[in-house]
Amino acid sequence: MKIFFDTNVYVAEALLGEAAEEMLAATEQASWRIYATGYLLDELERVMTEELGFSRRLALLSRRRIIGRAGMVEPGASRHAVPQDVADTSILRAAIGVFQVQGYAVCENGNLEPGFEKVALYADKDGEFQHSARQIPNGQWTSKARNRAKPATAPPPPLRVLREAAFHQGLPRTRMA
Amino acid sequence: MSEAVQDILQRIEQLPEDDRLLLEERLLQLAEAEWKREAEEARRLARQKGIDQETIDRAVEKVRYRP
Repeated sequence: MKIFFDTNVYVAEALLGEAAEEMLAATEQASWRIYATGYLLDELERVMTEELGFSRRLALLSRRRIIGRAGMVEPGASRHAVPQDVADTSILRAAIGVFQVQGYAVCENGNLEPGFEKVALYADKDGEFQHSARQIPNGQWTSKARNRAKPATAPPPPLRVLREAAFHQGLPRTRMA
Repeated sequence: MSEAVQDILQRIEQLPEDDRLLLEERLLQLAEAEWKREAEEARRLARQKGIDQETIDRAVEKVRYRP
């Protein structure tokens, strides 16, 4: 049996115990295989810290705990495309995939978050993926395409922003060439 | 990453396989014990704040479907 628990089960396990804790324990006891995704881990962290106001430490420990007990899987790219959507091209999906294998995950915005390194993917005037920029510790963005730091206050709107999940999961830190 | 952390990582890499496995096992136990302590405190806080399963479900929905 393969089981994929939703984020609310893991949050409830940490904050309530009770039924969620019993359900996870019973699943492990039955030797059923538990699966999780990087998206679920990011969502868990955001729910615990940003929405419910609990410590990042608890969120980080919960992430690691899930990684230790679950097989990590990543859903494949959607078979469906929206041709008019510049944020849904096969080129962009491939670019995101390149960063994902380096330990990055798509995140919500380009705000500076201590402990996370972010990259932004940009499009040209026709909406095609053009280049990426990396956020440096002072919040500014640097890009080989531009070869200089741009002020963080007015960056052009990126197509997607990803943050380095690997750093928080205690995995080896990797960097794009 | 500080020099102290880099130094520790280098030492870990130089450990024999058996020691590394023991260390990993011990670190897992420590992390589990720390999670249990943190969760205990979080559950106390959650009770104080009146957080229940519905609150958690709503928070997940808010993060997932945020415009």
